[in-house]
Formats: sequence, C-alpha cells, structure tokens
Amino acid sequence: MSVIDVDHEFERSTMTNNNNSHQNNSRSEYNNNLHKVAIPKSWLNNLKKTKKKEEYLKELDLLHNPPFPKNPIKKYKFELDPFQKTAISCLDREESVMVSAHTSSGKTAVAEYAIAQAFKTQSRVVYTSPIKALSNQKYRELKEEFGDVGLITGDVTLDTNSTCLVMTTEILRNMLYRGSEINREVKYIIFDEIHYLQDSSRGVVWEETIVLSPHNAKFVFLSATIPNAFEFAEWVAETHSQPCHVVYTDKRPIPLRHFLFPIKGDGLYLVVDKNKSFSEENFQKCISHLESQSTLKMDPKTGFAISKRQQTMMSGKDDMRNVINLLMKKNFGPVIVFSFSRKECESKAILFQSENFNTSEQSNLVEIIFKKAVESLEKEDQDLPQIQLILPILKRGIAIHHSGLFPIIKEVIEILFQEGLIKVLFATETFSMGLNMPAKTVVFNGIVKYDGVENREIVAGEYIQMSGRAGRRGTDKIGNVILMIQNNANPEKIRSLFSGEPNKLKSSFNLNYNMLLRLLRFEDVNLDHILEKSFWKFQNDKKLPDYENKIEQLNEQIGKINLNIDTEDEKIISQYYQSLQQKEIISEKMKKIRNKPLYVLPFLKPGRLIKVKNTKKKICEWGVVLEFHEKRTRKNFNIRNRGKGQKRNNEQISNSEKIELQKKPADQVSIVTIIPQGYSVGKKTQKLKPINVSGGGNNQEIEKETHDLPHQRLRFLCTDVEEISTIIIKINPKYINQKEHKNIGKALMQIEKIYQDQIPLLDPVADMKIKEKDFLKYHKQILILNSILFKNEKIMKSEKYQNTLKFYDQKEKLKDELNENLNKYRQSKNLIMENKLKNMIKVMKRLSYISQTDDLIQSKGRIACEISSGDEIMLTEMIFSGIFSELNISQIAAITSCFVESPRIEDLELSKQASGLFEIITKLATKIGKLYVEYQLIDDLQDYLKSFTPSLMDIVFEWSKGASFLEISQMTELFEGGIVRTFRRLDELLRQLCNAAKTIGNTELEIKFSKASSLLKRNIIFASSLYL
Amino acid sequence: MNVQVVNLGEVITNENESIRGHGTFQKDGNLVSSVAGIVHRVNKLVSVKPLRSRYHPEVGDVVVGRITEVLRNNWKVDIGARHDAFLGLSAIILPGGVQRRRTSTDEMNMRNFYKEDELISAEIQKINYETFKISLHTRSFKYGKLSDGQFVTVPPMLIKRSKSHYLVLPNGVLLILGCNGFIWLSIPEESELKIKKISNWFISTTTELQELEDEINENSNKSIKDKNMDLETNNFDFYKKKEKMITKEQRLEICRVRNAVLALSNSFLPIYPTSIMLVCKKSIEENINPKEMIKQKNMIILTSEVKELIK
Repeated sequence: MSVIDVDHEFERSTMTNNNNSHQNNSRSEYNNNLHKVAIPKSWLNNLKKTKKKEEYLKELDLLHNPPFPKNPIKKYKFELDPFQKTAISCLDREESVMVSAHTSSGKTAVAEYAIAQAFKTQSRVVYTSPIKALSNQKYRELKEEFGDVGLITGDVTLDTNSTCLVMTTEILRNMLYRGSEINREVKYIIFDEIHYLQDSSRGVVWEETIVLSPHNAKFVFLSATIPNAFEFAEWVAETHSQPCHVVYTDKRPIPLRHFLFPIKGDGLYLVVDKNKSFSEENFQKCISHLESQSTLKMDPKTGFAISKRQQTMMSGKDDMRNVINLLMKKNFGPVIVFSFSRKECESKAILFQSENFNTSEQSNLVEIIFKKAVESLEKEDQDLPQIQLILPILKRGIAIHHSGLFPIIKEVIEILFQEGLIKVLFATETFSMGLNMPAKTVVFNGIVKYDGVENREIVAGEYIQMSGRAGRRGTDKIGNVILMIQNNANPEKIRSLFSGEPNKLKSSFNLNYNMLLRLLRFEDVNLDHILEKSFWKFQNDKKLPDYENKIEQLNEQIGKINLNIDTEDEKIISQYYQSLQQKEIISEKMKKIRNKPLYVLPFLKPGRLIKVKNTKKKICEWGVVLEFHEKRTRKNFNIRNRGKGQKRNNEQISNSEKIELQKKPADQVSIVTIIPQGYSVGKKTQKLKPINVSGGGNNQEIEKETHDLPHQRLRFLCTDVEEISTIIIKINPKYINQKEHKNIGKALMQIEKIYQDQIPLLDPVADMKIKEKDFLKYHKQILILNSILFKNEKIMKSEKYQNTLKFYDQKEKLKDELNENLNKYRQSKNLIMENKLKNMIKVMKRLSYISQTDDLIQSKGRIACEISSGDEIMLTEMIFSGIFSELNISQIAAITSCFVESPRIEDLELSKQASGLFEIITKLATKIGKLYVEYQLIDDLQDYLKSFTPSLMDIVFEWSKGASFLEISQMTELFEGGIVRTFRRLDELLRQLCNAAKTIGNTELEIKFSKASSLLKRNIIFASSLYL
Repeated sequence: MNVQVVNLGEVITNENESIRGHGTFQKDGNLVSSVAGIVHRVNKLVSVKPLRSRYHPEVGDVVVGRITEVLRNNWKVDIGARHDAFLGLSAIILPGGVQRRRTSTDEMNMRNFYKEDELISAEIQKINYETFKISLHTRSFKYGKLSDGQFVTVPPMLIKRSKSHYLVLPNGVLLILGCNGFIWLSIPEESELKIKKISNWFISTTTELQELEDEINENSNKSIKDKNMDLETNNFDFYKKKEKMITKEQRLEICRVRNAVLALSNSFLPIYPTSIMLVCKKSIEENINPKEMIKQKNMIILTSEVKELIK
C-alpha cells in the first residue's frame, strides 16, 4: 500500500567512492558520514492530525547538524563522534535507526542509548546477536553497565524478567511467534550484526523476526558498512509504517595503514597510508618483486628446481616468522594473524615454539587466570590434551582462536587478549565479529578462503571487516594491516581489496514448514504473510523494471535478425544446429566420465599434450603436463596430534597408500601444465565459441598474438581437461629450469603449427579403455550424430549457409539470454517462491499436517510447530510412526543427532547399532524425499539424504553411556569445539521434542526425551560460559 | 468414512505398534479408552476425542470467557476448560498501543480494563502441560471486552474449527464462535457493511452458499479493520463501556441467530456459519418467529436441512 517516498534526504556530502583513488584525497573526518531517512508516504500523510508534515520535516532538518539532545537520557564519558550524535538524536525522537559503520567505531554507544531510553520509559528492550557466544559477552558488558539485564540463549536462561534482555535472534523469533509478553512490552529491539541477514541458512530468521515485531516497537540496527543500508531502511519503514533513519559512516576511529608483504619478500610495502591514499608506486614494486619470484627457483644446494608447492611451504614458515619478529621489533604488537582454516591457525602457531613474547610476570599471570578458569571443570576434563597443551603456548604470549577450541578455552583466550597478555593471536574469521577486541596490527596470512563451496579469494567486504580489528582506541594513533601475498596472487584482486565496496545486503529468504505452521496458528494471518512482507520480495520488486527493460531489448534484437531464408532451408539449418548442440551436450557428459581420476590419471604423464578449458579463468588452450598431485582429504591436523608427523606432503605419500589411492582416487587432482600466456579476455571468448568444434581455422590469428610470448605454468583440476592428445613430449619433470621451460613452450607451439588444430586425440574407448555403461551409450550416440552432421557438412560449408548459420547461432543465443532473463523476471515476481509455497502446502496436506479444505492446522502440524532446530517434518513423522517409542534413551539421543547440523565426515565407519539406526532414517527420508521431488521442492533425492549427518551417532552413544570426553574425542577427527557445539544443539532439539511429546499427551515418550537430554548434560560439554 | 466409537474402558486395539495419545491408556498390552468418544488415528498415534467433555484448549484457539477474579497482575477467566485460564496484565494491549512494562499503577487500575463478571474474547497463548496453566492474550484489537450483545453456550465439540471465528453474518449479526463453546452475538461496531435480509439469502446450491460465505469473510475483515483503524488513531476508549444503539430489528436478528445456534446444539449438530445460515433461512421459509424457534417440534423442522447436508 504505502509507497516509500524519500521525501526528505540530506547529507553532509554525497557518498563517494573514497577508497578508490589514486590521487590524493585527504578529507575532513566528517566527509564520509551520511544521514538519510526513509519515510512511508502514508505515515507522513497521517501526521496531519498531530503535527504538520512541514513541521516534521523541519525537525528532521535539525538533525542535520546534530543538536545533541538537550537532556540526554544517558551521558557518555567520552566525546561522541558526529555519527553517534546523529544516531542518538534520532533515538531521542523515538524513531528507528540503522547504524552502518565499521567494527569498533562505537556502534555500541548508540545501542546503549536505546537501552537507557527503555529504562526511562519503563519499557523493555531486547538486544539480539547472531551467536550465542556473542550474547554471553554482550550480557556481561551490559550487566556491568545497566544491572537489570537478563540473558536467554538456547543454553542459558537468566533473569528473564529484566528490563533489558540479551538473546539470540532465534529466541526472539520464537517469542514473537508465541505471542509472549515481550510483544507488548518491548519498545526497542536492537539487532546487532544485522548483515547476518544474508546468511544462507539462518538469514531468514532475521526477516521473520523483523516482520513479526510489533509495529509500535522501534528498531536499532547495527551493521558493518553496507552500501545499500538505505534500501534496508526503506523496507523496515514500509513494513512497520514508521520512519527509519540511516546513519552511515565509513570513517575509522583509528586510521589504518595497509602494507603488502610478498612471500619471500624483504620487507613491507606501504600501499595505503593513513589518509587512504593509494600508492601505485609501492604496489607495483611489490608486484614486480612477486613476479621475480614466480619464475622457478633453483635450490641452491642441489641445483634442482623446487616445486612451487615446496616453495610456498618453506617460505610460508620463514615469512610468518620474519613478519612477526619484524612487527615485534618495531613494537607493533599485539598482533592478530588471520588465517582461513583452523588447521593453518594451529600450524602457524607451532612455528613460534621457541619464541617468548611475555615477561615472566606476565607468564605467571596467564597461568593464574588460566588455572582459575579451568578450575570449574571436572578433574578428568582438566587433563584433556587440548587444555594441557595450550597453557604453555599461552604463557609465551601466543594464542590461537578458532571454532575448534572448547568454548571455555576460547573465552579464556579472549580474556587474556583483552588483558594484553597475548601478544600474537592466530585466529580465524570468527574473531572479527563481536566484542571490542582490537590489536595494533592485523596480519592476513594469504587471501584464499574456503567458503563451504569452493576456495576463493576474500572480497573487499570481508577484508574491511577483519582489518577493523586493527587499531586500539585510546592507545594507538594508527592501526596496521599487513597482507601477506603469495606469488600466484592476482594483482587486480589485491588491488580490489583496497578499493572495493563492501558487500551489498542481500536477502536469502527461504520458506520452511515450521514458519508456515506457526503462522497458521494465528487466527487472521495468511500463510504468505511473511513472504509478502519479506525483504526478499521488497528487493525483488525493485528489480522488476530492469528485467522488463532487458526483456524488451532482447525481443527487439531478436526481431531485427532476419535470416532471409525460406522455411525449407530454415528447417535444414535448425536440424543441423540442433544436432550440433546435442553433440556438444553428449560430449560434455562423456568428458565428465572420462575426467574421473580413475580413467584420466594414467594418461596424465609428464609431457603429455592436453587441452585444458576453464570457463572461470577463461582459458581454453593446449598445454603440456608437467606433474600432477592428488588432493586428498587429510585427517584434520589437531593440536593433540602435534608432534607425530604433522603434515604429510602429497609427494611423500608412501607406496602402499599410493596404490590405495589409485584404487579409490580422490576426486580432485591438480595438474601443473605449461600453456601459452598473454591473451586477453576478449580474444579468448571468441575462441571459446563452441561452434568451432568442427574446426574453423581462425586459430592462426591467436597464435600470432601469442607467438612471441613465453609460456606460463598453471595449475588445473582434472575436471578442466578438455582433450587428451596422443602426443607426448619428452621431458624430465624433475629437472625443469627456465631454459627447459622455454624449450617445452617452443615444442608446444611447433606441434600446434604442424597439426593445425588437428592434433591427434586419444580415443576414449579404444585407447583409454573406458567401459562404463553410460559412456559407451554416449559414444554410440556421438557416432550417429557425427554421421548425420557429416552428411550435412558439405551443404553447410557453402557460402550461403555459412553466413546464415552464424546468424542462426546469434539468434539462438539471444533467445537463450531472453529465456534467462525471463526466468529471472519470474523469480523476481515471486512466482518461484509462490510456487514453492503452494507446493509446500500441498505436501503438508498430503501428510495431513493441515486439513484438506480450509488449511486448518492438525495434530501433526501442532507437533511440527514445536520443532524449530531440526527437520520438523522428518522428526514429526518419526514420532507419529512410532520410531522413537521403540528405541531406548541412548538410541534416541544418537538418532536425533543426525538432525543436528554437524560437519560431514567422508568414509565414516559406523558401528553396527548406529548404522542400523541410520538405516531407519534413510528409509523414512527416502519416502519423504520422493514426495518433495514429486512436488518439485528438491531437485535431487541424494542431496536431501545427505542433509542427515551420522557423524556423531557413535559419539553420542558412548557419551550417553558415560564415556569421558577424551574417549569420545579419540573416536573422531572432529575438533573438540565442534563436538561441544553439536552436543549443545542436540540438547536443544531434544528439549523441543520433549515439548512435542507433551502436546500429543504421550508421557512415556516425553520422559524418554527429557532423560535423553539430561544424559547428555555433563562435564565440559555443558560447562557454563566464563562470561556469566 | 469409518468411524470407531468407543466406550469408557473399551479396548481400542491390541496392536503393539500404536502410540498412545490423549484419552487412552495402556493395559495388559492393550490400548484402552479412558473416555467415551470417537477414535482418531494419525499414522500410529491413537487418541480418543470425547463426545462430551469440558473444553480442551489448544494454542491459537479463539475463546470467549468470563472474568471471575482480578488478581495481582492477571485476571482469572472462566473458559469452560478443566482449569481456569489467566489473562496477564502484560498480555493485553495498553491504551494507545503503548509498548511498556506494566507498573504497580497499572496493577491498581486493572479494574479499569476488565472487571469481574465481564465477558471477553481472547486467544489461547500457551498451555503449560505441567502445571496446566492456560494463558490467554488479546493479541490484536479485535479481541477484548464484549458488551451489548447476547451470550450462548453450547458443548465445545460442536464448534467446527474454521479459518476465522470472528464473523459478521450477512444479516449484520456479529458472531464470535469461541472454540470453547461460548458464543457471543452482537452488532458489529459501526462500518459500511453489506447487509442482506435473510429473505434474500440464497443457499440452495453450493455456489450460492459460497457467495454468502465470501460475504461473511468480507464483512468480518472490514469490521476488524475498522476496529483497528479506530483504535490506532484515537487515544482509545477501548476499555470504556460504550453504549450502542441497537434497533428492534437488529435485536430480532440476534435472537434468531441465537435460537438457531440453540436449535443446532439441541440436535447435536456442528455449529458453523453455513449451518447457522441454513437454520435461519429455514425459519424464514417456514415462517417461524425467533421466539418460537426453540420449541422442540420447530427445532426438528429447522435443522432438517443441516442434517441432510451432513449426511
């Protein structure tokens, strides 16, 4: 209804891309502040009754120059920053505000003002944070400040009757669904780290919570810098028909200097100084230093070339030590070193075994604090290797911080760090969030991160967030960020880290059954209520006009292409075209099979000519194999394994293992090849045209351009192999110096010249002996297609058709693009989500969660309402089909553990009992999964089955039988911290199931669940947080 | 449809696999009914719904109740369940929709909101299965004090659950069908509703019925919306008693609906908008005055069509 109208907009200066500048731009410190207000039109028009519209707008103008509230409810000990003043003035007017600023720039001050206001107006205030650990920390902090503070997380509940409640967002959502008294008492809701909204699995919780919040409540959103903060504010304003302010600043309280450190480098290169000006000169110097490294190095002793892998490993060790020592010498400590894997964190920490950064007094203090913290644990837990091993490291002023640690150890380290007793902290990304724990210097150990799907370089947003840990307010004048870069790093990527914009906030809304069923319990709320009001829809609605334009354009373009042929000819062409495409599809499938390591590996001998193709890197080129490595998931390197052969290099895999590997090859093989270098993206795309399969002959042009350029070494996965030739160049892979390198390059070019794109290929069936059923089937199909194509080839080669074919191709491509856009358009129009909703309702009807005719909730639905931290449909089905009733208590705990999010372990060996239980789940899940497939809710049944993880079943078994933590931790390769987290989630789920059993009135089951939950609760797994 | 009716103590099944639900207990390996009623099976869960019992509350139900006591910070409400329900002071909406914690002043003023013996409509917020405490809340403005109308009770199992229990019939009668068998009849707060005399109702075919039902929905939504608008803007007299002018015709309409409900209850027939409308329509066709409607012989005539429909 209400149309957002930015009637009023004022800013001190427009937001500019201030980082992206080669020229000098020293600006006053206020420059990057921005204040905007989103006001729903209908709300503004309604104002007339109480206040005049003009009057209101005039008042807003005053906020411009922050007239700090005359009688501030809360006084601060320090001088507020302008952005804080503006935000607080907004709150003083009792209006919602979104504060978007860097970590540790003082967003908390704004939140505190809202809390103070709530205290004054005798209303409640809720502070939500995305992570339980953060809630604990926040609780501690606010308790000290305000006193009347309570805490509710899944694990702990304290003083729920307090004025200020700290909780996780999930808890608040549950309360809102339940219509708890919070609904009518809360005046301010503070969302910390609101950018979690885009988390793919949990993000929807934030949207639900915001939509369900009472209209009369005011919001305070705290977020990292996001460029589309205003869009978000508009959404909130519209959803709750109230104005919502945005206060944005990208100023850092402590200016940062950014340095680059090239691997094997001789020092730091200052690339961005404290005035944010970028030094191109230094950047280039550093890059050229890197490039000089990237050519192969000879081992001074043996004269052999060192493989790149060895190089990076060796240098990695030294470099890290060099950097840290340099920093310590220059008095740049304390230092936080960010790595992107837990393993790396630990291995880097081990490099400093002989260093000591603490004085003996400090060491003693560390020991006292540590012992005191650990005291609360049981005796047997105190002896756990992780706890025993970490103390000596801590005493030397070195620490690690990642999710694999016990929560209690993590907390001790946080406390020690805050006390200044830790000089070097090796942490993962999680440390960049939450409480104020800054260091003078932040070091990035590389920029490649595994994000759950693939290895990728970090983006500017992540870099900005993490580098925010540098610079301690009040202590340091300047913060330092050091980026260690490997020689294979892409200079443009690095440059973009300094100049890039932070990520846009994007909704990752998703529907789930629990949400729908809970909505159904309300009398007058429609099922699509949340979908309709979601940020997702809001964002998509905005995109619609763009797509409409694009579609119109494409339609026009397609209309313009006139093939100028009669229908008879068109028929021939379309036939030809179709068979060409079909051939492509089939050969793609064949390639997939052929590229399985099992088949392809024996042929990847050094010297073999292969064609590699990688669409992401935009490469499609012939190259020579130099060597290949099998990537194999190694057992997690853990602190307790320290000492016994920490790392196993791929080159050093023992023979027996090698054989085993060949029997069961890893799915990832990386191949090092030499391929021509020096083409630009544009030229490449031309050559990538799939049509050229039949051989066009425009290869020469490209060859000319690459003629004079040297070849480069590149690494590929074996899935990138496009063709395998019969040709092998004689090389000695162990002895490749620059000269040899050049020779190989020359040989490669010669071969290409001789064969003129007719390089003889290995026949997959005859030569490679692939006998897979599907493969042979495809092979036959290809042969048939080839004969069809061959028939038409002559006709097609004629002048007349050649052109037409080109046009035809163009037209088809445009059509594809059009379809893609139409799809996006449909997606934006919510049709996809709406369809999903309809199908989900159908599924619920089919399983009788809701009634057939008028969508009324049934007893099964009521059960599913109670279950919010596991697959509600599966668990409800398990209750109703009596699976739980037949199991004993530890079996119940074990089977439930499959529903809790936990890391998946490949090749897990389950005990007989566990696999029997898992069989039950698989059977039921297959049934349900098939139903989902039928209603197009999931694409692949196997993926659905994979969402149940049996990793912890046996551990839960043993634990519930009374095993010690040491025993269970030896049963698995999981990190201790991971085990603890999963157990706590499991407990939460069991309690929900217990409630569910109460609702159906089955006391036996209820008792079983509650017993199962209490069986888990002992020792270190449920040790309470130090912050409480 | 296969309906299994069991008596108290009767063996429902001896299958070992079934799970025990409400209204059943295990004895000698058999599942035995603890009430007289109809057996419900959902997969392996077996429960018995009693034919006649007190109201069994469920979260989200709309109920009508009577304030029996004003306590320190909540009201005790009789909703006809086995236990009293409680409406917390923090579970009501304060005048003006103010969001704040309740103070001791609010506690002193509780009688300004609801007094003893007053009727309210509310929603079941939660049920504590250990202490059997039933908590109510007035989640939106459509719930709250009921005045100027008529109150009827029927056995709770006769109330058919539907999407909305807050209805405005096409003849302009407001009907709150509490899931607990307490029914409230009144005239909706002023708004432009489409009112159609019963003589103009056409309910012989399903499409015609559907049309009428749509009208009910439309009217109900409109009246709720009006109420919301009304209350959000003025600083409200929501809890103050408002004297409404109810005309004689309106009174007669209310009476007709009331007696229709009683007639249905007397024949143990489900009570929902369609059945009520059928009885009302029949009373016009048969030319039976509202006050005559609850004579035994008339009741049989009036409910005949409903009986047919249900068959």
